[in-house]
Amino acid sequence: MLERKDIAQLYTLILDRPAESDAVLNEKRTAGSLKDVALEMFMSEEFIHNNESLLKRFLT
Amino acid sequence: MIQSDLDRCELLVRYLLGRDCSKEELTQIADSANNYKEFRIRLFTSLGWVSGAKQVADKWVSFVSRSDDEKDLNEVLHALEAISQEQSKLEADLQEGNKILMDKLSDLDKVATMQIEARERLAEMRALLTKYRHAIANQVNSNQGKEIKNA
Repeated sequence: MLERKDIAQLYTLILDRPAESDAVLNEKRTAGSLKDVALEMFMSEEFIHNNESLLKRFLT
Repeated sequence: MIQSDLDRCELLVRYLLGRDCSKEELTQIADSANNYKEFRIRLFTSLGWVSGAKQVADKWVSFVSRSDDEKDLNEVLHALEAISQEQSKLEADLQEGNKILMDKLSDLDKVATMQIEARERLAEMRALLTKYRHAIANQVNSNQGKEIKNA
C-alpha cells in the first residue's frame, strides 16, 4: 500500500489541489506505484484542461 | 526560477524517478522552464527523462490536435450561422423591397388611370368647346345677315 501523505502530496504537486476525500486517497493507495498515480494524474482531463494553454505552447 | 518552485520540481522528480536527482539533472530541465508549471510539462516533452513519458505526451498531443480540430469545426459552424443569419436578413429586406415596389406600382397604376381619365375628359371638353364656338360663330353670322337686310 502506498503512503497517504505521498498521494496527498502528488495531488498538490500535479493537480494543484488537495484530494477530494479520504476515500479517494485510499483508493489511490492501491495503485502499483507512486509513479503510476502521478502519470494517471498527468493524463487526466483535469490536468490537461487546467494546463491547456501551456500544453498548446509546448506541443504545437 | 524561484527556490520554492525548484523545491517542488525536485520533489516531483523524486516521485517520478523513484530517486533523488542530481542538481545537474534538475538544472538541465529547470533551465528550459520559467516556473514550476512549465517544468511539469517539460518533464514529459523532453522525452527520455521519465519512463512512460511518451504515453503522457501522446495523450497531450492527441488532446491538443483534437482541440484544434474542434476549434476549426466551431469556427466553420459560427461562420455558417453568421451566413444563415445574413441570408435571413437579406430575404427579409428583399421581401420588404418587394412590398414597397408593389405599393409604388399600385400608386403608379392609379395615377396612370387618373391621367387617362383626365385626358378623356379634356378631349370631351375640347370637343364641347369647339361645338360651342361653332354655334356662336353661326349665331353671329346669322345676326349680321339680319342687320344687313334691315339696313
